[in-house]
Amino acid sequence: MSDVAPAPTPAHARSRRAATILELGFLLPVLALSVAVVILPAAISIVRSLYDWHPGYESQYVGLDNYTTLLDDKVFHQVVKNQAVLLIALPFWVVLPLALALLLYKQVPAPGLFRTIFFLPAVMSSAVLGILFRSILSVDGPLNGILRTIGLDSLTRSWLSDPALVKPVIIALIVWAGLGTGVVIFSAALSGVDHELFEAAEVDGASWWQQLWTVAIPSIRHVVYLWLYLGAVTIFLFSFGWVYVLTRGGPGYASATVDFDVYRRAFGRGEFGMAAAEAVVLLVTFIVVVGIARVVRRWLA
Amino acid sequence: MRRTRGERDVSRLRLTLVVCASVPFVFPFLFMISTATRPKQDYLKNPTAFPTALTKSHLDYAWNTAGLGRGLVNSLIVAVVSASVLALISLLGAFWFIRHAGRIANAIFVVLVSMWIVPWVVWVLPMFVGLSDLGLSNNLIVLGIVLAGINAPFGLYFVTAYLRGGTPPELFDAARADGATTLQQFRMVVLPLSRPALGTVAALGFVWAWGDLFVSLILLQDPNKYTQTVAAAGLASMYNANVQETAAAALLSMLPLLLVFGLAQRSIVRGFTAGVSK
Repeated sequence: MSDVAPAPTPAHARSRRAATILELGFLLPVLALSVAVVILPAAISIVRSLYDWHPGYESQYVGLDNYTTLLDDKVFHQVVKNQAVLLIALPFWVVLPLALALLLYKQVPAPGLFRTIFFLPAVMSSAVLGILFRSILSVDGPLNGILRTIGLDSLTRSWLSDPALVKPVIIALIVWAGLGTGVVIFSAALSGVDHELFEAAEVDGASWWQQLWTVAIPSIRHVVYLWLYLGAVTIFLFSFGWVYVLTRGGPGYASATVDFDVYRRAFGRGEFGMAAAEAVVLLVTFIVVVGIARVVRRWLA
Repeated sequence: MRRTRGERDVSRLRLTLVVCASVPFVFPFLFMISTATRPKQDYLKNPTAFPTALTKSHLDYAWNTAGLGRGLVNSLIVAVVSASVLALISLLGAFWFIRHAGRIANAIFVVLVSMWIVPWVVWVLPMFVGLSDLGLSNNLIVLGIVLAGINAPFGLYFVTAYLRGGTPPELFDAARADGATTLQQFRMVVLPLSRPALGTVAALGFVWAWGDLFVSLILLQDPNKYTQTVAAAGLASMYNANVQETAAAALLSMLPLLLVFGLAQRSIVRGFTAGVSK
């Protein structure tokens, strides 16, 4: 702050203090709301994960019992495995939008129109898109209908109730829904890359695929990291909408993710203490993953 | 520009690839519209053929019987409250942070902005218990404010970064030299400058609150208070869910978003590309 400092007088000091307090009024709303909505409840969760928590009743302190029970829980093992399998989405999550952004960047007519088409799902919520795909993927739905029409009857499946298929389907939908945002982000990044780099590569006879790996990706590396990171966040923290609407974690627990399982334990079975412990495990895992990613990134750079 | 034959082939190949890639982005929405608006016999004959007749009976069912009509009104309340609160607290906070760059201010900023990586499931249980105890769990205004709090890290970051990039500090000095009070600086310097950023934050705040399922599902137990996502999800996941009624529900819940998207596409894209072209 570059205040001109005149000789301090008591009246001046008082008015300055009043001004500072008035200024804190600007910070207060966002600070108070973040504390009330996220910070305080998160702290309560961490404490409550050490209790046999039954809202509305006396809850008993049980130490780490919730955590040890959780680590022995078969459903929890399945859920962790599911969550890990969903990470298979990440390479597609990065490469497909990058390839499309590159195609649009290199002169396709009406790139804006295509970008809008790809971007449309980004403004829809996964819950409502899930509702739509519940119909499209149902056994007598249009996907199977099209396969039958073009004579590929052998490829028709019960997409959402086959334990071997349900995770690949959810992976495909997560990639599909994120693709347009990726295209928009990569297009913005590519527009900042020097045209001549691509032209030079082309003169050297680099194929489109080589240009992708040797020019495009290196020159927008920080955006690729950002997008990869957003992908991990989407998969770890925002798959609830898809899972709840499409499968309710089924068949069995084949498509249950951690966020869905926390919901199921708390609101389906009343196991609030266990649910809180599972949420804390997710938080810690996520912080560790982000930390490792940062170290690896610094190490690579 | 003169082009060789090979170049023309390559550019045609590019166009073909892009058009093929856009099929899975167009077809689901076309299917939704046609399925929601055609009679049952017409649909059963061939679900993927072009409709030969129209009906609004599925839309009627979704709107009235499944409660989408009321859900849309409830969602509108939640989304408008959420977008306004988010824009307001982000702007006020950003104003404070561009005027305070000390170590403590920076630490507070980092803490607030990094709250977005805290998984929702970590805070949602105490939030549910606390709001139920206070008798606020079936309250649409409270839901809107909670969703604004969840999106505050993005809003605060976006408006602050926008103002830092676009307001030279001398502007405040000049305003102060003219004798402008803090409130006047806020009203006459920051408010007009931040309008585009506020548009982005409000548009995204609306879109995210409109699409929320998780928090709404947990906080709302009274069917009269269900938002459109909760109502539509309920309809879709019934044991005997009907494909056409489900499509009608999805269509109804997407239409208002298309309107917002049409009006604010630029602002929304600006929000998503924040931090890319630095």
